[in-house]
Amino acid sequence: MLSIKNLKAGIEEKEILKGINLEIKAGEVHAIMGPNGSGKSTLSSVLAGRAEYEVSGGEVILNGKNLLEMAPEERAREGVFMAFQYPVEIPGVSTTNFIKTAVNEVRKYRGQEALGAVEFLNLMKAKMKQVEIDQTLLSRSLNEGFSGGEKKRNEIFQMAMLEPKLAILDETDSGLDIDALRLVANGVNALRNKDNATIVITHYQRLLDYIVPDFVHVLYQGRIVKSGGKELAMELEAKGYDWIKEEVKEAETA
Amino acid sequence: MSTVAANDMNDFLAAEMKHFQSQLNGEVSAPINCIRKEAFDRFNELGFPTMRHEEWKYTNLGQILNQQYELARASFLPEDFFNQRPFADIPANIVVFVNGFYSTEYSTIIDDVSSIGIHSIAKLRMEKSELLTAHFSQYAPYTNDALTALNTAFLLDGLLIHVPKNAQVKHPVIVYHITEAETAAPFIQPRTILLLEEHASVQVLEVALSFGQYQSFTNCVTEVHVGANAKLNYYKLQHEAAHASRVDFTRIVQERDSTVNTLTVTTQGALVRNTLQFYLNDQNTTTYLNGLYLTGKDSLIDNHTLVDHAMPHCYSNELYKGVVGSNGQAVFNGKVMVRKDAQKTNAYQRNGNVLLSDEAIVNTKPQLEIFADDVKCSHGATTGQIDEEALFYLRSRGIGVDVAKTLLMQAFAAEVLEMIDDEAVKAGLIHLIENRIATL
Ligand SMILES: Nc1ncnc2c1ncn2[C@@H]1O[C@H](COP(=O)(O)OP(=O)(O)OP(=O)(O)O)[C@@H](O)[C@H]1O
Ligand SMILES: [Mg+2]
Repeated sequence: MLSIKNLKAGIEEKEILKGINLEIKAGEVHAIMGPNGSGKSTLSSVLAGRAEYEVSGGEVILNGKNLLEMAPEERAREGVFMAFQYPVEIPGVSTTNFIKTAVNEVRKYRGQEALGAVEFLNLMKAKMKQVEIDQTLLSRSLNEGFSGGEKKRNEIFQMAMLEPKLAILDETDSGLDIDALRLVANGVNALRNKDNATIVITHYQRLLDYIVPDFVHVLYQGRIVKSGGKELAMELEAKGYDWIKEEVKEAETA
Repeated sequence: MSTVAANDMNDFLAAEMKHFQSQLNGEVSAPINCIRKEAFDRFNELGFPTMRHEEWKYTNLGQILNQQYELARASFLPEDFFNQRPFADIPANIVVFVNGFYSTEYSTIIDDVSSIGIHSIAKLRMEKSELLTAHFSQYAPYTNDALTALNTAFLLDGLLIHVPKNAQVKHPVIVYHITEAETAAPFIQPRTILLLEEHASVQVLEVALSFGQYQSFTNCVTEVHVGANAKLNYYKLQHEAAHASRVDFTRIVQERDSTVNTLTVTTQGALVRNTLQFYLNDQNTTTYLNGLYLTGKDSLIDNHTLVDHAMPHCYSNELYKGVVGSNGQAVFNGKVMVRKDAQKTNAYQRNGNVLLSDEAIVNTKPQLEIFADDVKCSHGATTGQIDEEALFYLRSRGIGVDVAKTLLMQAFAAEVLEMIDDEAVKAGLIHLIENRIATL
């Protein structure tokens, strides 16, 4: 479904991703962990199409299509969804109107008819219930004055509305209380099916108790330096990253 | 009718004045005509402002004065055009001017004459109206403003609205100023006089529209007197063609405890210059000045505002915002004067601009001049680009780049319209502005 080959990207002269390789099949959940500054958000931004980052090599193929050639909105319409580590506040744009516009733009791309007011409202109500988000939040300006947790919940709500094929959750768990964490996880699990895939970026093994990954990868200095099953996350939780850094050093000097 | 050649606008006007005076017959010795003649002399002394003039530093009138015009005469208005006007579905008193001349055919007054007097100035002149003589040129002095002097000198027609004491006018008054530029390039000089007596209230919405391929130049003057405890909502929508130009001078005098809300929306125009001045003549007045300008290709929109706090305990709050795209230019100059006696003044001012292109230009200058010591005043001006982070966020959800930009610009502009309490007017304006923003 998603195939990332030797992806290199950076900003101005600085190379941040130094050759990422990752294969994700439909139905899978991949967790990406790694120390601060290792390039996890950069990877998700590059996948979502943030223009700041310049791709200097490699390829990303989503369901047979070259993702890197597409504008951010095209990627979204093709089914890519990134839940932002830091969702943006946009005063004056109503959350509901924004989501309606997004849903209908995606539908238009897929050759579906735009949802009418009633259909949209019904869909929204169902999804609101699923992720337990409050109606009053949605009537406010997009993320404006939302608490950290409310912003994250709104990301998951948007994901539920857009039903992506590839969801990338960039530290959606940070700043969430236990209940919200469970909700976010429920939201993700509810959407999981054999046709879509999820990348979960997190620092904490805790989230992976709720969203059980098929694979865990460690991103360090712009490369995936270790991959394993969900037990790798437990090992990282117990031992930290030093042993991995050591391994990388040894491999480099060898 | 004669035509102006490039450099002799002044000669043209002198000739027109002579001709104009020769046709006045009985009015020649009327008090109004004395004002006209004095105003014309003053105009000749002052001359058209050039860019050397501090208040016209960024706005070159030369471009529009160099074109050829005909002095406007009563003209026609196609019914189709009228039927497609904005706000057509709002129940209102409708007043229509075509090239500055009152149209009896299209105007319809639905409120009772006991609550509002809506008059054509041409008619009042014929009737030698006391009301006109008493108020004409009383609130918009021409001594320091050449274009106001010129408008005063050529007073022919226009609108006088009189709301008597205690009258609450039920329906809004929508005044359509329609420029016909299909047969020639008109030079139009309308005058509007709004008079609200004590405890009166009214909402006036002015809509400037145009049709025809010729350029046009409108030089309009509005003078307003708002009596004690009266309330005026005065909104202007300048929505003419991209090749139309307009200089608008509006001066509002407020008496004790009165409230005035103004909104000036300019959607396009080759050159649009608005001068909006408030003179707060007594205590405890409330004034809101809101403005929105959408400046696109080959367009210059200039707003010069002045709030003159002469008396204590007055409140003024100003918010002007602009979206400037292509090679558009915008000018904002907001002056707040707080005179020595104006203690306990609260005066706020904010100007925000978004530039959509590298060629777009904004010149913004807030000016606070405070001579009293016990006051609360603030001002701020910002000019920036579209927020890339916000744009990426919207696009990452599948919203196309143009729609995303439009959403952001609409959100930016919406704040200015929040003060409108008439929901129908607000909805109409939002619709129009949203469409216009999408084309910037
Ligand atoms: N826009 C930018 N400008 C300059 N440097 C950047 C930019 N974005 C990322 N970087 C740098 O690239 C590196 C990787 O950053 P990134 O945000 O991808 O890390 P991360 O793995 O998500 O870290 P964290 O766990 O703290 O979220 C860091 O050194 C960061 O400072
Ligand atoms: Mg990060």
